[in-house]
Amino acid sequence: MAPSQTISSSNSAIGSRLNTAWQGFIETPAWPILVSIMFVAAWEAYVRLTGLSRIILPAPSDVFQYMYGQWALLAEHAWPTLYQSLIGFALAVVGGILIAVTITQFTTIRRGLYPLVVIFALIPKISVAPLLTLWFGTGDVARVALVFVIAFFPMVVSPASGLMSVDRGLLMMARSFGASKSQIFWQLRVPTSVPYIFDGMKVAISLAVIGIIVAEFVTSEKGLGYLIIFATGLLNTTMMLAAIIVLSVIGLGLYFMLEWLEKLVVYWRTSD
Amino acid sequence: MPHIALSNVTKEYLTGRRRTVAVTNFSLEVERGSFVSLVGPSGCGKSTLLSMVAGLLEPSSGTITIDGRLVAGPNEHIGTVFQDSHLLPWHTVLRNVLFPVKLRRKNLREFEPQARELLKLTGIEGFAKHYPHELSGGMRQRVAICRALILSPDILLMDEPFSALDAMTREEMTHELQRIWSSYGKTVLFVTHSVREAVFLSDRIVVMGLNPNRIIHDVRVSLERPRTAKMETQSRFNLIVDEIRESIAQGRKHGATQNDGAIRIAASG
Repeated sequence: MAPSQTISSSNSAIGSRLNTAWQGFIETPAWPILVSIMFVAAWEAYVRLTGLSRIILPAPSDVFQYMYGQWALLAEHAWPTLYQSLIGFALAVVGGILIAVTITQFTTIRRGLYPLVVIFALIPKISVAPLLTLWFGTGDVARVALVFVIAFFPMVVSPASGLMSVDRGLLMMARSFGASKSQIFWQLRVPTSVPYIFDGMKVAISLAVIGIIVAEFVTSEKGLGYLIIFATGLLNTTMMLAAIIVLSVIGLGLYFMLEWLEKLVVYWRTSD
Repeated sequence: MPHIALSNVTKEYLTGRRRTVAVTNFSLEVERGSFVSLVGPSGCGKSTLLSMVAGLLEPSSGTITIDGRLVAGPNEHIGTVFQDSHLLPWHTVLRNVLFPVKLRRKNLREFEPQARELLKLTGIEGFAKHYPHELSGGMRQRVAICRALILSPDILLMDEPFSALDAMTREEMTHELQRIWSSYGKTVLFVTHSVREAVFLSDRIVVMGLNPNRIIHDVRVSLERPRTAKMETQSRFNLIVDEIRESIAQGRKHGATQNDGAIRIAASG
């Protein structure tokens, strides 16, 4: 009995060592990269082996080849998408924060305005896209307006809850040292709300990208949304996927820029 | 003239339809430069009293004066230390200590040497540029004490300042506080749950009872200073501790007999 026990226990030791090596590998970025490569490879193999029509699903190699060859076209259409979503986003950030400050600091205005804000927030924003075209025409203004409308409400809600969620202990402490209402606002409420503002911006930036694409679907002669509709008309699925990939990269890039900025600005939260 | 004088102070809250009484007809005179502790069971209103002296709460009736002048709101001559340090997480230790200077719209640079000296006195001068989340609980509370002292107030109000600390840090801080108090000579009003802590630090201990919330015992502690850890094992120290514990127990019992129907106490202390 004794020898076999030794063997089995040494076996399990090797097994557990393998196990820990595997655990360690899962922790590294190599693991998700490997899974992604496997996904693309499976896609490629599926398309090649089944001989699927490119109109239904082009192989990833086709898409990447298209992107490599047509980068100038893609960049030309990515630019208006990028800057118009950023303008709409910036307006939403500024406007949202202003409204948030107003409704949190002035009770009279809050009581009057808040129900209206809630009602407007409940409207599915995409449904007003045709209305905006009616008002602002088919130019950039209508598209930026839709981005603004869709990104605006998270920029009201998050900063407002930030301004209202100052720690009660901090408030009591500041009052005990004679803080005035405006000092409490600038010294406590504003810094407290900064992380909330970033939370709001992260939601708003994703919505802004959705907004610009929908706007470009409705009216435009440029932009990645336009390119997607155009590609549909041509039954050029490769072009469509290339545009979607560029769009995703833009969305991810903007999101991670905000995360990076947040780490920089909200330095006191980073090591927690 | 007493430094701090409370006379017939009553504080009632209206919570919904219920009237809760935190303090009834409370009178106390605190001499300049003395260290006075308020002890008593939870709900006896000691924290409420401290908040009223700090000018954070207004008494429902009665008067509170400092140097004969009526307290009407937070006052520059008072520094308060709370149970939690309540440091601003986005400011460095130094900026936190200087926060009252900022609020009083004084020149920050002028007070910086003073702030550094206080940090040195409390043994955390090496952490001036650190952020609160980088400090231990004891260090954070030291910063809070420095902050309370930065404008050189005459009065230090302390609301269970060490109760959130572990036992060892707590003892260390108690000794530290004695040192700070003896080098600055402030009038201290100190709220605590720890009888030993109160005996160690105080010139005088005021024991409060429940229902009605009033003074049931007023003890002068005549142990010589500086008090040492060794004194804590001596019988005269422990006799005072026992005496106070007994009166707290009595105060609680007294409350229990009256607690059945009448008034509910909703003070936090």
